[in-house]
Parts: sequence; structure tokens; C-alpha cells
Amino acid sequence: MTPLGLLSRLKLWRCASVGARVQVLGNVYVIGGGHIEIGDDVVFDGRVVPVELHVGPSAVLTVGHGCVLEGGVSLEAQERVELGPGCHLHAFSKVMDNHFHPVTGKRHERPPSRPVKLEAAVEVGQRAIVLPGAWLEARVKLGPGVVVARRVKSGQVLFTRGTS
Amino acid sequence: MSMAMMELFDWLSREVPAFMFTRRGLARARSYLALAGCEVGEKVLVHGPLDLERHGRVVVGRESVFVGGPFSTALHVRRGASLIIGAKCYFNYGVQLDVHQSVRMGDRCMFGSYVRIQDAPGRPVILGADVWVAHGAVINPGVTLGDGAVVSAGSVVNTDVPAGMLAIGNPARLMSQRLCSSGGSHV
Repeated sequence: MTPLGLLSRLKLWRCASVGARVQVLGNVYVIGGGHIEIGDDVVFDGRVVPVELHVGPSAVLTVGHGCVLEGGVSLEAQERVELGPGCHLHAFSKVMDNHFHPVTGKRHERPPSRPVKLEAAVEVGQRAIVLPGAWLEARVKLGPGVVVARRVKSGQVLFTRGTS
Repeated sequence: MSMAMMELFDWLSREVPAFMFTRRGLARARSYLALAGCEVGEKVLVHGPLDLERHGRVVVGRESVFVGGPFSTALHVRRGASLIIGAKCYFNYGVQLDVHQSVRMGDRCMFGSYVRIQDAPGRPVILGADVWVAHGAVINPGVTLGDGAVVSAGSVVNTDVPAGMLAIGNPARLMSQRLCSSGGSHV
């Protein structure tokens, strides 16, 4: 094992399983105490801003083989978040399966979680946000700043208004 | 133990309140140090790194909390400007408040991670009580958010949001919070 590989494993010591040839550049911020599975050949690029893996107790986060997570990416799982193989999450994008606060009623009561699934080769643009209940099928591409909370069919490309 | 050390312990036991030695007391002491020079209410907590650039007036209401995380929260208050934060406000990590003239917020406001609020000379930002600004939203200069308003994740707000309404999208559109909480999805 290379020194980088060893260092990467040390930085991911809180994860339940870490695949082969995983690279952690910079820092990864792992909190919550949940179950995290990292596949082979995953790259965490936290050189400028750390990558955040926030997995609550009894929650499961799965990062598939060959995924790339850039700086400032935040994955928040309170029940289940699943990233398929070959996903690419650009800088400051966020995937979450819980809103943490309800829009109406008592703001400090946590609403129920809705699992999030990203299938193979999904690309999430800079500052894009994947909200609870989203299901992005294979090869979906989200442009920068897109916010999505629904099922998106395979191969679709979504951009916000004003961009092309 | 040397005489100097014994004198130091004697002085500490006389002069420093006992609560300073508890975990909560140390957290509060650290919070007051992080907000040095500001008008800080009781029981304010700063958990993570705070980038404070204070050239104007900063008021932090009682029991407000700045949460720690992978990115520091930044409070940049320019010369002659004022930032007034109400009681029991909650700031997630990475919030950026860039104040050129005046930013005021009411009690019990909540801010998600990477929220950015900025004003400009002659265009102050005013937030009412119980406002919730979700992750990654941007509040632009001159905007007023009414009591109980909610700004959804990733929104960019350029216009005023009346009390109890939801701002959503880029640029933000207004909709009723009841419509949103009844279900549905958006892109």
C-alpha cells in the first residue's frame, strides 16, 4: 500500500468499509456515527474545502466504485443515501435525505427521512442540491445550482433557467 | 511545585469563577473570545471557527449558536456598519454575513450551511423573527424577509418576501408554505 493509500485509510477510519485504492486529498469531515461504505477507486478531493460525510446513527451511506467527490461536497444521511458507481459530485454540491426542519409547524421537530438514490455515472454540478426523495437514474446530469427532489429519468440533463 | 505555580493556583482559585473550569464554562469563555469586541448576550455559543472582521457594531442576542463544521462562518462588518442578531438564532457552518451598512435579524432565525447575506450602502437587509434560510441560499442587498418567511435551499432572493411566505428558486419566486408542505417536488 502506498503512503497516500495508508493516509487515506487513516482519514476514513470511522467508515465501516473502505475499498481498494481510495484516495483522500486534503480532509474529510466524518460525523454522526452511522454506517459508511466506500467502494474501490473513490477520490475525495478536500484540498481547498473538506468533504463532509454526515451520517446519523442507524443511517447508511454508500459511495459506489469510482466516485469522485470534490471540495465542499456534503452528503447528509439520516436514513439512506446511495451513490452508484462512477458518480461525480462537483464542488459544494449537497445530497441530503432529510430536511431537518419542517416548513410549517414546529421548526425544531425533525421530519421523516426519504432515501436518496443516485444510480451509475450521475453527475451533480457545482452547488447543486439533491433533496430528500430524489432518485437520479443512470447518466443523469445536473447543471450548476440545480435543486431536485424527484425522480429523474435515465440520461436526462437538467439546468436552471438562464443557463444552457 | 514552585512558589510561582502555587501563587498562580491561589490567584486562579480566588479570581476565576468556578464555572470557567466546567466544560460548558470553557465553551462559553471560548465563545466570548471568538466574539471579542461585540455586544454579546447571555449563553451565546460558538462551536467552530469564526472569521470575525469587525469594523462596526455587532450585537449577538442571547442563546444564539454558531455551529462548527468543515468551513468557518464569516462575519464581515465594514466601518460604520451594524450587524444586529436577535436572540436564539442558529447559524450552521459556512454562513457568510457581509455587512456594508446594516443587517438586522429578529429572534429565532435559522440559517443553513453556506448561506450568504449581503447588503449595500443604502440597501439594508432586514429579517423578521422566525425566518429560516436553508442551505446555500443567497440574500441580496435591499431585501426584507417578513416574520416566519422561509427561503428554500439554493435560492437567490432579490425581492422582499412577505411574512409566512416561501421563496424558492433562482431568482426566487414566492409561494405559500401550505402548498409546499402538502407535497410535490420542484427543479
